Amino acid sequence: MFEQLFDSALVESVVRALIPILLAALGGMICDRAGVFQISLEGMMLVGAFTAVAGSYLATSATVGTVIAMAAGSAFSLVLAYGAVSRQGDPIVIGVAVNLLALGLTSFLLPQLFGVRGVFQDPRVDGLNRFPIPFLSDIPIVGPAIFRSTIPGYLAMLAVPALWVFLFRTPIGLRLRGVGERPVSAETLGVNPTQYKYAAVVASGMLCGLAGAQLALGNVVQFSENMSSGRGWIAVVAVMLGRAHPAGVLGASALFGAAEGLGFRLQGNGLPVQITDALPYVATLVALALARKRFKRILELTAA
Amino acid sequence: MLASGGIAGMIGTHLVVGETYRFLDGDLVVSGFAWSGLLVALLARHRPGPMLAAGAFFAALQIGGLAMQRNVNVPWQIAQVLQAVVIIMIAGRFVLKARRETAAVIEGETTVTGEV
Repeated sequence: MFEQLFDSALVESVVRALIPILLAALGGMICDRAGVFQISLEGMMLVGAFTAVAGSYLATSATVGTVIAMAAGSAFSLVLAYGAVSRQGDPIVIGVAVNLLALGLTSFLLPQLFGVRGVFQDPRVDGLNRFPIPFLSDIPIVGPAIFRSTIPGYLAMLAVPALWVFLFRTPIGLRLRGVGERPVSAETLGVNPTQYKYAAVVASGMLCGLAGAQLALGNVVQFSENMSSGRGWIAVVAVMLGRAHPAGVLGASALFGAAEGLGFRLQGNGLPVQITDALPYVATLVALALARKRFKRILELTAA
Repeated sequence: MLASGGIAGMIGTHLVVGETYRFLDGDLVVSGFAWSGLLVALLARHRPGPMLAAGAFFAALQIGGLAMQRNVNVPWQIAQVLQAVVIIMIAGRFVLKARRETAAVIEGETTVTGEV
C-alpha cells in the first residue's frame, strides 16, 4: 500500500503543486510585512495564468508569456494598491472585488479573444521548459522533483532564502517591516510608507503573475476558466500559518502542496474526487487548530 | 458565529426546498451567493437598512446579466466585471467622504482630493 503511494512521482507532483502556492504566498508575505492585508492573490494569479497563455500564444514563446504575466500581475495589483493605500479603502472589500474582477475579466476575454469557452488549448502555446541541473537531478527521489524544474520553479526556491536575507538583513527590508509594524515611527524616520506599501503590493502582483505562468505554462499548457481554483486562498492561509516568515511560509506551502499532490494520487487509487479535493482544506483546518496555541501566545506577547 | 451559520443554513434550505426541489452538486458554489453576500455586508458597513439596498442592487446586476445573455447574447461575465468595478469605486468613495469630513474638522475647510 505504502510503496504504491509514496514514490518519486509523488514527490514530483507535490513539488509541482507547491510552486504556485509558494510563489503567491511569498507575495502575500511581503505585503503582510508591509502592513497591507493582501487577499487578492487568487485574482492576480488568475490574471497571470491568462496573460501567460495569451502572451505565449501570440509570441509563441513561453519566456515572453511569463514576462507578460508578471507585468500583468503587477499592473493588476495596482488596483488594490491605489484603493487600499492611496484611498485607504478596506483592503478586504477591494481584495474580494479584485478577485471577482479577475474571474469575470478572464472568463469574458477568453471567448472574445480565442473564440472558445471553458478551456483554451493550442499547439502554438509554448510551454515552459524544464532545466535539469547536472548531477543534482540524479539524486534519487528528491533529485528529479527539485532539480529538474522550470525557471519559475527555481525562482520560487531561490526566493525563500533571498527574501529572508532581504527582510531581515538589509536596511530596505528593515524599513519595509517598520512600515508594517510601526508606520508612524517609520514616517518620523523619513521613510515614506506609501512608497513601501506600493512596492510590496506590486511585488506580490509580480510573484502572483509568475505563479500563474507556472500554473498555466509549467504544470499544464492551457488556460481554463477559474484555473487558480482556490490556490490563492490557500496561499493567504499559508502566509498566516507561516507567520509571514519565509521558512514558515515554505513549510506551510509544502504542507498544502503535499495535501494536493497526495489528493491526486489517492484519486488514482480510487478515492472519490470530492474527498481528495477537500484534502488541502482539511489540512488547513487541522494546521490552524494545532497552531492555535502558539498563535495565542504570540497574541498575548504582542498585546503586552 | 452560530447565528451566522444558522442563517447560512437557511439559504441552503431555501435553495433546495424552495427553488430546485433537489440537491444539485455545486449549486451554491456556481452562483457565488456566499461571496456576494460577504461583499454586500462589507459595502453596507454592517447596517441592516443599506444591506437590503445593496443586496437588491447586486441581485439585480446578476439576474440582469443572465437575462442579457439570454436575450441579446451579451456574456454574463460583464455583470460580474461591473459588480467588481462598482465595489472598487464605492470602497474608494466612502473614504473620500470620510477624509473630507476629517479635513474639514482639522483645517476648517473642505479639500477636494482628486477624482473618484
